[in-house]
Amino acid sequence: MDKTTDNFALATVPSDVRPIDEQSDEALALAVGRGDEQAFEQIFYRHRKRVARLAGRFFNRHEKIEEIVQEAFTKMYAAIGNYSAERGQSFAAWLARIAINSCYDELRRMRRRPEGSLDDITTDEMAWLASQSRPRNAADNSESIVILRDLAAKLLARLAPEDRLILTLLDGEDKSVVEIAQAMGWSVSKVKVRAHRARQSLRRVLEEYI
Amino acid sequence: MLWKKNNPNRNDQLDRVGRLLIESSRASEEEIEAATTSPALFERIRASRAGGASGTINNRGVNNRAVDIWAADTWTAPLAIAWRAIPALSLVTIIALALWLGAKGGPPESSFDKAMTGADIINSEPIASEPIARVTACSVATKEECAVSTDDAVAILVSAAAKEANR
Repeated sequence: MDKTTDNFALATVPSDVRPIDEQSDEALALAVGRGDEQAFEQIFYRHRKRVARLAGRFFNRHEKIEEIVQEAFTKMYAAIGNYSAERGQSFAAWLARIAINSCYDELRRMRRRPEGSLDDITTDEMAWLASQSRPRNAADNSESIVILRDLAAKLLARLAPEDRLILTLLDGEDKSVVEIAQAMGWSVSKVKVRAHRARQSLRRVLEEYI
Repeated sequence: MLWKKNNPNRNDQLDRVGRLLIESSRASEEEIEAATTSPALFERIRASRAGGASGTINNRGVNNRAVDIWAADTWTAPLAIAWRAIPALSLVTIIALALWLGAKGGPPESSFDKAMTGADIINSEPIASEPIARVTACSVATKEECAVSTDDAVAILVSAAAKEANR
């Protein structure tokens, strides 16, 4: 199939069921840089889930996740000229970096506009926290999971955005210190120091209840 | 408290709960699915690109650029406030200055002056300018030669009324 036929096929297939094109991310990124709308659409449908999953690490409501996906792809489009595969970074890693930064920006915005209702810890949540003082007590049923999710949102909102970002990437995404440093554009030592401080901050928050 | 901070078991316990919370804070698969399968998502991205790379379109289709400016880093927030406050304050200052200069052009006449000069309350234009200036000056003087007797005042009033009648 030549390129013209291929583009025609892309244009005629409905966007939500379009099969993944055989072109590499890097080739598509170059095409997006030249203003190719089809290539941008292809990249979007190829990577939207990955970006949403990353955003879902920080935010658990689909509206917020959608907002992050939107922001990340908009920023990606604006910065596509800066992407170069020759620098040794894959397109997926580059896009993940943009998505992480979008999440970080949103965490900082939320910190400046805190939601009052998040401050109130319910009786159930207090009971769950109290039960954690006993050894080997984890979220083992669906009720606990629901309580835990709301509680996590409330308690993690008390952390500084940097602390929350680092802890989520370390413990939630299982990223290494080097990977976080690359993603954030920080030095490795800065990530280590911040991670140490972040753990201390989370301990201080939890000590109020446990 | 000191015991709590230095106890490694205590720290381990807190770290374990912390990890559990971080793990639990993630969105469910349904939420992620709902976010990515939103039919208008791609169109919104397209609109947001058209609206400017720095501005974002929120879920209601409203451009968030103004919000972004106000919610920027803490050091830029005062600049954003100054950006609007300085022109507003300048405008207020200019208006106040203009009013003050306008008022300075003619000093207000006191009610006593009006009574002495016979100026009409409704039409505040004085009847005669020369005698008014003299009388007004003398009316506030304390010197003997400048003092105006009651007879003089009545004479002035009568003459002013006569002039008015002749008009």
